[in-house]
Amino acid sequence: MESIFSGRYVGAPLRRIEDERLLKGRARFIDDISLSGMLHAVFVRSPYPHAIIKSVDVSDASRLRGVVAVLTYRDIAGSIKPWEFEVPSDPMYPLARDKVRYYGEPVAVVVAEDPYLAADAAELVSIEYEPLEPVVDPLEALEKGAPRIHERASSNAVYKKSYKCGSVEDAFSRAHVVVEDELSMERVYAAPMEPRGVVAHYDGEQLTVWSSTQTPFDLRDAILEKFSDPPSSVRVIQPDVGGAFGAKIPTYPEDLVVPLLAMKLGRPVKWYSSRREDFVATVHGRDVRARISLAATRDGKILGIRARILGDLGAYPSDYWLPDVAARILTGAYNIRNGFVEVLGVCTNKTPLGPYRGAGRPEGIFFIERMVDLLADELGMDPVELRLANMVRPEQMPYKNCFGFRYDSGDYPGTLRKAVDLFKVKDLSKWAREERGRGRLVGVGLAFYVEITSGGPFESAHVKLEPSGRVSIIVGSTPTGQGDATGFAQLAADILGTSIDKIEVSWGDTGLIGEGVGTFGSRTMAVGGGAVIKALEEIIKKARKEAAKMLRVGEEELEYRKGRFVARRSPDRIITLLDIAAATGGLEAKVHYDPGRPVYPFGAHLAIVEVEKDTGRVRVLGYKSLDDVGKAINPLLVEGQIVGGVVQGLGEVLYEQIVYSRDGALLTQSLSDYGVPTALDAPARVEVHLQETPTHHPHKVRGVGEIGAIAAPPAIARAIEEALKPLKIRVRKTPVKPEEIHRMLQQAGKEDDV
Amino acid sequence: MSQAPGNGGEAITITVKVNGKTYTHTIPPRMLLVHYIREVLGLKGTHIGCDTSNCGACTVILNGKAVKSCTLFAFMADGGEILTIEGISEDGKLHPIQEAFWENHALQCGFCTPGFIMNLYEFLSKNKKPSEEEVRRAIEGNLCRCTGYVNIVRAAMAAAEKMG
Repeated sequence: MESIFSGRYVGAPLRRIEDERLLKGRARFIDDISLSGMLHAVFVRSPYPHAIIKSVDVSDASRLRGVVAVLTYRDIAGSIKPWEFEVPSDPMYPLARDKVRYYGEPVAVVVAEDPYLAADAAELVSIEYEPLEPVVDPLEALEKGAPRIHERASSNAVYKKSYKCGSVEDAFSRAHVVVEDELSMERVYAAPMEPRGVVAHYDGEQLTVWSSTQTPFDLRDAILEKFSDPPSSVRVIQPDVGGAFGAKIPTYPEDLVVPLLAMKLGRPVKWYSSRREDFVATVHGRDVRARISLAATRDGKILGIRARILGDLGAYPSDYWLPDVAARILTGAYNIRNGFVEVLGVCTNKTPLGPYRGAGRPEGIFFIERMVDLLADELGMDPVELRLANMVRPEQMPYKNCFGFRYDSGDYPGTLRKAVDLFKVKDLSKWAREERGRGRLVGVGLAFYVEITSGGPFESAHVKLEPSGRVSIIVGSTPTGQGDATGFAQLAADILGTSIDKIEVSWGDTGLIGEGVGTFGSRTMAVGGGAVIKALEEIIKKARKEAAKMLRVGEEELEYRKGRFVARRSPDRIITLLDIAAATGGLEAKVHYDPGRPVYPFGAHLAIVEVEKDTGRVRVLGYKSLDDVGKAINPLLVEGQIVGGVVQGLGEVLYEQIVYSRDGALLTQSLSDYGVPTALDAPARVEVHLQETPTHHPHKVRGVGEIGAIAAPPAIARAIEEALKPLKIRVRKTPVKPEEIHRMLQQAGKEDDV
Repeated sequence: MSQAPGNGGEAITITVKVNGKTYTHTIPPRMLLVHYIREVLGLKGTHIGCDTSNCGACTVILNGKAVKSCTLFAFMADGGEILTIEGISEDGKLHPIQEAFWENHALQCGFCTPGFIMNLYEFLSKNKKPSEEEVRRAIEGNLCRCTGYVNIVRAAMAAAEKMG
């Protein structure tokens, strides 16, 4: 097939085909679904982080006019199987059975004719608890005699693993310099603007479920697997989703309970989370801490790394693998051949930990980039020079890192050098030094990252070229606002040699496409796009057979270009795809595309910040990025992903933190308490540079969705450190909030006075 | 929401003009304006993203001012005039703010978008040549988790230019 990069669409910054209905208020988000006779569910949640449920009395709630049902575990026990996890732990029941393990765990559900009534009735459900001592701090959870969260586990450290390479003892004994530090990324909340919700309808045969999810196929499978008496047919529809960022990957208790209610009650049921509820009922992210040592020679050669990574998994270890990813990406872009890392996943009485944009890579990259900066300071070396001296070199690619990740391709030192030029790092650093000399607290920070995309077993696509020339693309990918439909349409329009107006892209419906995987891990344009291309290639292959028959030439005689087959030796023999589609009643192909192996985007980000002396507030004055995303199918979408991710990363460094009280109550339960960045916090501009090292995918895409969230925290952290250079303050964790910086500034001021 | 809740107090009859059309409904006193707009009038372009007036996804124009409709009771709008996202494009033609959002990739998931647009609708009608900083201040009460705001500000500036 001719290059897919020769058309007019791929690579163009086209405005999105998704937007018109969103702009007119005609989208269909979960709460917009309204069915005739629909009931409303409200969940009753535990006010204790750790307690035995002694009794539940639903009689007052049930008596309220308009209440249709009030259910507890006992009412659904025989109907839904609990979750069993891969690491030692007790099962998680969709409604708590006899014990609650986190503040907000669902215990009962009220169903009523209207949501106000359901909320009234939920207040009347009377639950007697016997509080147990909670454990909130993962380090305390490790202590002997700490409250045990799962009876089936021998300790709260339910996941333990280690990775090593080379000889770490030897490396540390040879070292001239060893730097050691403790670092952490605190617990955060994805905060998509749309909270979660579920609607279900059962017609006696088919169960239809709408869920604000990233994984409709998983949800369908979970219903079929966990319902002891599943309906004969289950269709899961992902409506428009108002942001997800990984937090809508898991299948949640409400995703199963609401459909069961619809089946039991014979009426449609809706649950739409309040924001307050979403804070406790939707997974939290990050919450990983590390103790790390780097061993190096005097001239800056990193000899070895030793680390302990500890992840706070919360009450249920559904995503125990998150700290593991942080551990295995820990060598970052550097060629470190001696290493040992121990990973611990610890249960505590908090909302379960789950994926959040980057899922392990932001943590690992924050840790290594902070350590490399620390080493540079210790050695008195330029951090850029130190990075260059230790980077994996292009001739080492593909490169298996110390803990087993195989980086596919790329020139890391070349990219860093290019970034230093493009960003004008030397001029900026000089400017910052001079400004600091005048008393302004400004700083420039740079970070380099490597990250992973294209995971998952496969992605599916079903493409139809109608006799009319219309093209229908149905994908297994499940985008939640990224704009991938536009990207897919660009690929298809160029490959088929047609106008983008002829193309319609659909997704997020198990009734439209039986199998699919979904959107997460920056895989959609890479793997989902691969599936679309594979389906289009198959259509062209089928068309070629038909064309050969119709033109009476051998298939190998035909050249395909922009929607036409031309006989090489008799160029007057031409037939278009459209003619073939019309003559054959349409052409279609259903495919699975196997990504084979992951790819690793990489690049450098730079932040320029100013710290306000009076308030400790950090302003990001400027931000620049150079990212190797492979082929950018639509640079506008790529830039949107990078900038959005950077501002999420900014929030994580400067404001965002999920806070629990010592006794396990969630203190941050609203957007007033939790610092999602506003327009006043975001940088005015982000200077985005793209670079393109091809990958094994047919369209050479590398992936972009999580880059900003991975690269921004270490870049901004370093910039703050530089701005506060006169104070010699280190940034060891995220967030570093204005009040903390203010305190440091005051402390430093006092010392000056002395 | 069509059935009045049992214990919300005595029902109230209100008359409001929404997107140019006059409606009279009898509603429970505790019904929030956003629920009236969404569930009674069926105008689902106005969204609910929080319960503390932080996110601004529910922003509509009430009597010429951008308000967060999740923080008002429906009866408080009695006798008033409301404009929602569904009411700003004429004959299917996008409003310049909507057009500018599209051209500048100022939306991703689109959940917060109607709230931003309605807020800017009021702001740009009163500020013909705003600075970027003024735009940022104006939209501080609307949260977007996808775009990082850069393109939203760009879109607002472009819309201001177009609306002149």
